[in-house]
Amino acid sequence: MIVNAIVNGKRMALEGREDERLRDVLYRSGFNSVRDSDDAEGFAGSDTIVFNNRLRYSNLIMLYQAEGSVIRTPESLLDGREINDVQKAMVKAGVVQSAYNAPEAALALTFLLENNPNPSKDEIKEALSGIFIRDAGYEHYFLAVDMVKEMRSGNGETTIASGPSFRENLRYVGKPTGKIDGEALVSGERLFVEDKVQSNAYAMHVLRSPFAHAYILSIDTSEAEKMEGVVDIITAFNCPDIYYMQAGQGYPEPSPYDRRLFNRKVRHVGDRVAAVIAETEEIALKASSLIKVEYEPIKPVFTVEEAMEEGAPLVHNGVVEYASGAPDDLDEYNSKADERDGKVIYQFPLHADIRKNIAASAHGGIGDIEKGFAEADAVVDETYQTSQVQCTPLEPHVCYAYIEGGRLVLRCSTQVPYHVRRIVAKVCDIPENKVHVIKERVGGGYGSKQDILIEDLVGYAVWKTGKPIYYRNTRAEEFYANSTRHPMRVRVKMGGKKDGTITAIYMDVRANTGPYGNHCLTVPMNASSKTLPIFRVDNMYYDLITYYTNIPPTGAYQGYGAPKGYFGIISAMGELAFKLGIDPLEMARKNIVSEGYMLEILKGLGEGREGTVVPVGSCGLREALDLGAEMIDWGKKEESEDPDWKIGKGFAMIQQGSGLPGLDHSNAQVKLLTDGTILVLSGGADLGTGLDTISAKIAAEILQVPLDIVSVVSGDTDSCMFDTGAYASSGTYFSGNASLRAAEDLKSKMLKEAALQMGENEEDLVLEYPGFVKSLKSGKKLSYFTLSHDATAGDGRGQLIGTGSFTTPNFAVPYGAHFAEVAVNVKTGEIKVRKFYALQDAGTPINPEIALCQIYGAAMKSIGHTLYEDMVLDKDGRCLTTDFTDYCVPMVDETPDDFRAELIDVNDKFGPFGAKSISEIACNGAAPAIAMAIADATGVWVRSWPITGEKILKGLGKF
Amino acid sequence: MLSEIVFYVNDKKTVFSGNPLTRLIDVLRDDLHLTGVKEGCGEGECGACSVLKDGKLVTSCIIPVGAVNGSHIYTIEGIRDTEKGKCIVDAFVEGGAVQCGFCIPGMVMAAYALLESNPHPDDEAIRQGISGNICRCTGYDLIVESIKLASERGGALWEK
Repeated sequence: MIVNAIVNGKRMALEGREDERLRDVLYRSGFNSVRDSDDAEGFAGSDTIVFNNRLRYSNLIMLYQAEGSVIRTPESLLDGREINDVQKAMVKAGVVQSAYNAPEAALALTFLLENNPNPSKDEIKEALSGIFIRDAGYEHYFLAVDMVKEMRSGNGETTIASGPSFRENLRYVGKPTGKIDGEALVSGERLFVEDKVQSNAYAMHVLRSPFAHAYILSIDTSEAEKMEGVVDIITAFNCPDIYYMQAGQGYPEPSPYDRRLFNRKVRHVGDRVAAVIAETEEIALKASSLIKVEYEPIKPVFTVEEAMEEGAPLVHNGVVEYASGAPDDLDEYNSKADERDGKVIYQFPLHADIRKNIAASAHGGIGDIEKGFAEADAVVDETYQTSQVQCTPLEPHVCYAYIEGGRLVLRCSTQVPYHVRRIVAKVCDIPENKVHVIKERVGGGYGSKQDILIEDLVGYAVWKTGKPIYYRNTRAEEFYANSTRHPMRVRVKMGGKKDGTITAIYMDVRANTGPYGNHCLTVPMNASSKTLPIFRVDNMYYDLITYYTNIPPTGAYQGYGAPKGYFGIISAMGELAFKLGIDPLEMARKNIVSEGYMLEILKGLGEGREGTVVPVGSCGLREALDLGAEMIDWGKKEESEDPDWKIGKGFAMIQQGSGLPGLDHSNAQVKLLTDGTILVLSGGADLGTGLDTISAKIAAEILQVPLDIVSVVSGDTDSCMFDTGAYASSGTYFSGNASLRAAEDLKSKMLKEAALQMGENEEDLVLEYPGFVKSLKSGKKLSYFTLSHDATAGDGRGQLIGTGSFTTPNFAVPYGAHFAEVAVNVKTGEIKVRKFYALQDAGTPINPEIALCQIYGAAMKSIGHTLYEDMVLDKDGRCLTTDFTDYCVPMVDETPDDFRAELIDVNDKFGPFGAKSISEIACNGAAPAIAMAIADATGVWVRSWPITGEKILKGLGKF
Repeated sequence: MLSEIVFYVNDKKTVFSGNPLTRLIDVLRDDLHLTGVKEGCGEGECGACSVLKDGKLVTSCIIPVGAVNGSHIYTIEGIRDTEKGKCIVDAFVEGGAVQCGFCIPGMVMAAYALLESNPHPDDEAIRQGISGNICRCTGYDLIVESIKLASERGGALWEK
């Protein structure tokens, strides 16, 4: 049907099926900023429009309902290429990060300000209440509105700083300048994978297992294949016999190769059974319903306890192989294998035992814990359980791939372009030169896009059929066929003296990796390796065992294993302090590390090999604790006027890492273009985190040029050099340092060439802003334009290009402290986070405003898993919470009443311009800080996620 | 005016409903995604859009879709994987006939039509056979040689 409407002030005939969603029609008609994050659930607001003068979800309007309507999309905010003042303020405030629905937030705020030029905080909240922001939190949106108000009242400028400034001597690093790609993102440019898809793309539908654990006896695809428009059907019976795993980790990986594209055994509800490639989505869906699968169900196991039981069903019972380090009794071990289970191949031993459902194990420590416990005046020994939660990026996993020039091209939303290239090449059994991965803008990653969860299948299907394929997970698939936080059971035994000295810590970590072993050693390792080194304690030991089960798959999630370790270890410290009758903050101060302290504990914390002992580097931990205590008025008991509301305070001290020294590797190139401007080619993957801006700022500082003559291309495996990827908080430290080295290399080449051109000595030359080589001896100046022009002229010596590679044995560890003040209604169990203060030492924050927003965003994610989010499975292992409403992510109304992030000024020796990582660490604090605050308020320690009113009331003996 | 035109493209039944004056090339490229059919001039001069219509070489940019009702159309996508098609494509690659490549799908269609009617053409006949196809890169010599190679190598294949 054709519907007449006025869109962005212009009369338009919108064409489509009458029951088609208005969003789909608008997107197809070129209004591509109107996106879908929730499969038309009406939750995330990526589809927000102004419809007949009201904010509406365009996904919830059918085309026929739009007849005669007046519609505004975010495209209406642009004047030519110019973004409006709200959009400018958003970029400046640092809230435009992964930006999948940033244009919609801009539209909502613009609409608000048109009707209400001076909105209150509650009115701003109301305007944003239908828009889910996962990356940057909501706090700086209030700031952006203040900026707009000032801009409108004066000369269009704002004096409001979006963050503090650091390092007087630098022009861009440490200054809130806004992201270099901020305007493009907030204006809704065609930057995401879905925007690149051509109309000839084929569809793929994945038929998934209804059983949590079953052998596939047979698959009959004959009826489906007969359907017109079906191109191919891939199953366990015709896919390549190649074992790999989906974790995007550096090769050789510390995860087992325990799967093929399709397996003869399904191991979770939602596991892949068949992929149908067809001309349209409708045909693919219909064809997959015609596939007949015969299953032989097996009893599943869902929890660590079930998996470890004697005689428990085995999730993997296949043939075990080792690329290196095979044990002598392997043949004997394999005599019990069931060949239908396939294989498990280790690159090196992970101390696993699949015949006991053990995917990996490790242990280690220092000192003598028994002696330590004997010296203690009190000991606590408690077990803390974390739940299964999902990253929920607004843009689900998506891939568009095709053959071009005999090569496989994949346009991806990924954190790890080079791991995608390697793993797709492996699955297709082709060399890496045949694969080209292009990382588009990423609409949120948070760890889930560290794993190659769809690119393996899409890449293979394209290579096999020769057809271009566009595939995107549904929101439900994001929950049950994706990656999630490993649920963990962390037992902590901690002993201490009356004076607050901790004498011994023991951690017993049991992790649930689900059906496959992605990150099965390293995520759980992080529960100890990112927590124990914060303590100045002589006797510490940990045991770790990870189990296979039949829950939905797990993998990387921002913070990795650390949020779970911190929930256990800080809660235990709080419980010990309560037991000893001392202040937990005093106990923390007495037992934390400081700069120079030798970290003996690292010896036992290497991931699969012996770690190196290094001293603590730059460390703002004590300052963070002191500032947080002052801000929250630690020690002062708050009372509510309503006796049912009890108020308490809690805190957590935290750390993370900055990449993986000894494992990660980044490369970059910086080119002087012919007119003297700069192009940075970085292997790093910007996920909306501002990594490209970091590379640009670093190059601008080293080369002494204005930031706007530096452009960045990144994450394209053809044009950029190798980088292990954006995970483990490596971006700033690794990719940033690679850009720094490349810029320095270019600088030395420019000086050398300039010396020849100017007839001067290299030692007398310096680079001078805004783009000159200057002789300190003669005072002569040479512009970069002339320098580059002459270098590339017919008689020149060649283009000036700098190359940089970064590897390091040195750690740049970010530290911090999070404080919470919580009120609990002891009659109803209602919990309110009144105050949340996140204080972090990120070294030199290169983009301070983006750093602050990332802290807010990460803290909101962790408040989410602490209080609301939970993947609930039924007794058969089927995930029941497969949309945002049921899963319960926090929105603007769940933000703490008083929410502040502060950057502690510390300069690091190894980070680029002193910078360390920023956002992963911010996931670590909320759970233990809120748990302690609740215990302070009510006396009840809730030791499992999510912390609910029900659990508190139970602890109070109310039922 | 709307009408329904039924024809076959690369052996697949195709039903077009719409304006019968729509150019065949637009239906092939836009609706059927057969992008091997190239538009060079839009006036039947350059041959980049050449397809076979019931065995005859035609330029699809000047044929209205209404004129192909009941016809069998073959594009490069329909012949390139056949034995004969492969024979020509391989000969073009080996013979160095391909430079920028834009004219090549049409050129291959012309060669195909030629060899179907004249399995062993001489130089003159080959030049006649591709006289409706413009190539701006190669100067035609290597294309002529490649068609000769396809004719020799195909041998009896072309006499079937």
